[in-house]
Amino acid sequence: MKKNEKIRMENICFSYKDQKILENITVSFPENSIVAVTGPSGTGKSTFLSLFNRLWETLGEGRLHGKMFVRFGGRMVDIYGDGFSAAELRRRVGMVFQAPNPLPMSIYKNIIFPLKLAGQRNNGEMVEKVEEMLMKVHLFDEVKDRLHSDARILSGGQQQRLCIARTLMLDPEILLLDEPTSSLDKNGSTRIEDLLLELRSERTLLLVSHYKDQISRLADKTYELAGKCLMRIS
Amino acid sequence: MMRKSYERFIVLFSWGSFLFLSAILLFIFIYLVMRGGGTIGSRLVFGDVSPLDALLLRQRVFDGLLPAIVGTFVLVVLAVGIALPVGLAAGIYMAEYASGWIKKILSALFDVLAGLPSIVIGLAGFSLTLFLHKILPNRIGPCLLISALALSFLIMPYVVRSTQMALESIPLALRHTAPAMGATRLQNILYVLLPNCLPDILGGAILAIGRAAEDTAVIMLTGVVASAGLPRSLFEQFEALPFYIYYISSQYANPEELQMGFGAALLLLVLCGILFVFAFLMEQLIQRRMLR
Repeated sequence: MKKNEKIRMENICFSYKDQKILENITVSFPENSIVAVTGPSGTGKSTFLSLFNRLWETLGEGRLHGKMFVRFGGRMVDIYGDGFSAAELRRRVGMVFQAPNPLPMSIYKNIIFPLKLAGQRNNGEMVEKVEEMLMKVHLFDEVKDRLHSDARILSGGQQQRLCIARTLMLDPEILLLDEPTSSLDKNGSTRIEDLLLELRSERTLLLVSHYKDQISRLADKTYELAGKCLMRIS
Repeated sequence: MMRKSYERFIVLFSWGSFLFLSAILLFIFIYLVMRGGGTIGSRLVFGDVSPLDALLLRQRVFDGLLPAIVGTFVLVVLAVGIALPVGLAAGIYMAEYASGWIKKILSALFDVLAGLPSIVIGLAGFSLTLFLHKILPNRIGPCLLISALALSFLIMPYVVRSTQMALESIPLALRHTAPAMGATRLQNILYVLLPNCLPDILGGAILAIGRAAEDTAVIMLTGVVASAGLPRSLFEQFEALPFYIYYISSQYANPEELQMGFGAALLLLVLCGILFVFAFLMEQLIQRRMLR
């Protein structure tokens, strides 16, 4: 086991509706880094990401073989092992989706939503944390006067930064990013990329992206998913 | 060229259908107003009794429609009150929990229930009344509660189907948002999925209100009568506007009585309108509370 190893996959095979998607993948990813996964459309990149937070389980009909370990609190934990619930895992492994997905509620309520799910009550500390996260994603100045407005009125780029702030509320150690800039214009993409580079210093980021120039700007390691296998390309 | 004229035909046909339906609706409404508008007034609702005395229950209204208006209102609220929570829960089960052959069988059952003629449901309600009368003699007979129960079965498929379809049409990205933050299945349903499809569920509720307010066959066999006065309990017979309209239009003795039937139809439309507005305001209130 390497000292700075954050994630380790051992002989992972995954199939969905009896169709093999991933075959015999063994790989490890270091902590505090950006690992990019690229590849042609339809090869299972999003499915690959969903293995890390067990989100594929919500769809049913998927089957996974092999072992997946993540370092939590200094020790490697089998995330599919007994005693580790999917809900607990998802609070520690955050996810940002391809298209911004603000919930039909206010900006403020969107950001505190993960805390509400975790059973925390709305209080003064929460207000401070909301401000902190909005500042972290450079959105505070743009929305500070309309925190109680519908989040869906924000622009695409603002919505995606809001979604990142919401994901960061639970302070996840790993961030899964499924083509987070694909629905944004160049300006919006640049702001998200700058933010991801800032976040790298304290988290492990797994980024699925189609854009080679984006990968070259951001990634410490790049893999390609093709033919059900994962290959290191840089 | 051929394709262009085909597209133009489709657009024209759509517009034509829309205008045709709107014209029919307008015609019905104008005809009702012309025939029954003259009867609208306190005499139609309260008869010879003063409105204050009638509303304070000091005097019973015999020749006005107040008992039928109150009876219809209570009947619809009760029927929707029973059908909405049960239908909502069944719709959630169908969309979120049921799968495989169980889902197929239940879907077929709800489709059969939706297609049942209301007279059959009325007959089932009547059989229930007979059964209850047998085990509780002299204590229960055709009444408001059994009518509401039977009506709720008539409208429940609308609520089930609208809830199920609304939940199933939620995009996968939104469906995954809360679980990706650690939400349980129930938390996802309560906090994200249901609030998101509230307008569609409300659409089903409005259809249900309309259907419950207009049906005559079900209530005719389960508790409505021509003259019962204001409903004093759920276990008594009652009057209702749709039955009054049916009764007066088939048994009228003079043109004035028939005109009162048209007046009653207008009142029924107004009552439905009030209930639709109430349902709409409820949706607005819930959405505003979610934003705050």
